[in-house]
Amino acid sequence: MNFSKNGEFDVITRVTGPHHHYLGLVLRTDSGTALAEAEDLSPSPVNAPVDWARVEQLRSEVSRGVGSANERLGTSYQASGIRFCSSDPPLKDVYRILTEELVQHVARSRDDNGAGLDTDGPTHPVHSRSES
Amino acid sequence: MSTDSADELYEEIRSTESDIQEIASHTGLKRCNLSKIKAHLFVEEHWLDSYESLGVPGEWARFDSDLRIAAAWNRLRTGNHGLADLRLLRHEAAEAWYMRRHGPSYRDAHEAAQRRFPRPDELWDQE
Repeated sequence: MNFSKNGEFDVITRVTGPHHHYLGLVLRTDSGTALAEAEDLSPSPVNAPVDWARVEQLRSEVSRGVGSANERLGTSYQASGIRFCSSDPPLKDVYRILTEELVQHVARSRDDNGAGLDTDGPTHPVHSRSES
Repeated sequence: MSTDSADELYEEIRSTESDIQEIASHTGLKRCNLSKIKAHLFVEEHWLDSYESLGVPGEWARFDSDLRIAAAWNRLRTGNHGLADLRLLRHEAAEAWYMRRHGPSYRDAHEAAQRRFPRPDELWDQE
């Protein structure tokens, strides 16, 4: 998995060969943060219909992934921004797993940078990689 | 779909030498072709550039591990495979061929393979 930062979005990408997926999240620890609307970054034809069922599935998986990661890590992150590519294949549970991996990566990074403080971070992409 | 257990299965596959002969005997595919597919899926690093346009820099890396791919490979080893498992091999063979012929871009190779030999999405639909 590849981790990068683009503005306030933390981004995870996963490429397995037959599939590839992109997920960007704005992760905050403010209480009362509402789960964000999902922004589709895919190049798509003008006026292409929005697949609302897919968007709701994505938001549900992100919400479950954040909750699961928080429970495991003892953190209190919430996603206030979501970016994805609707041209990536909609595999069941893939966004939950990407979310868990991303929250874990961000939690560790922020611990390394000092006391889990939320920061806007660099505005240019910065990336790192972990196994799987 | 734990990534840790998928990583372990990929390590097992990488360290196994008998799988090529086993899959060849169950499918009738040539060992040399199966070796190329195994190297492509599990061993070699590729130029992963799918999201460069979104600000994610391309990088040389192995493919990320996936439990469904490892399971398909192991079904092929035991002869319990289905058509979808064979279609996965065909997709990956096409991707690997494209990279050898046209260069290392995963994005280009995957798109070309997907047009001619689409991945078997039903492998990931199963519970």
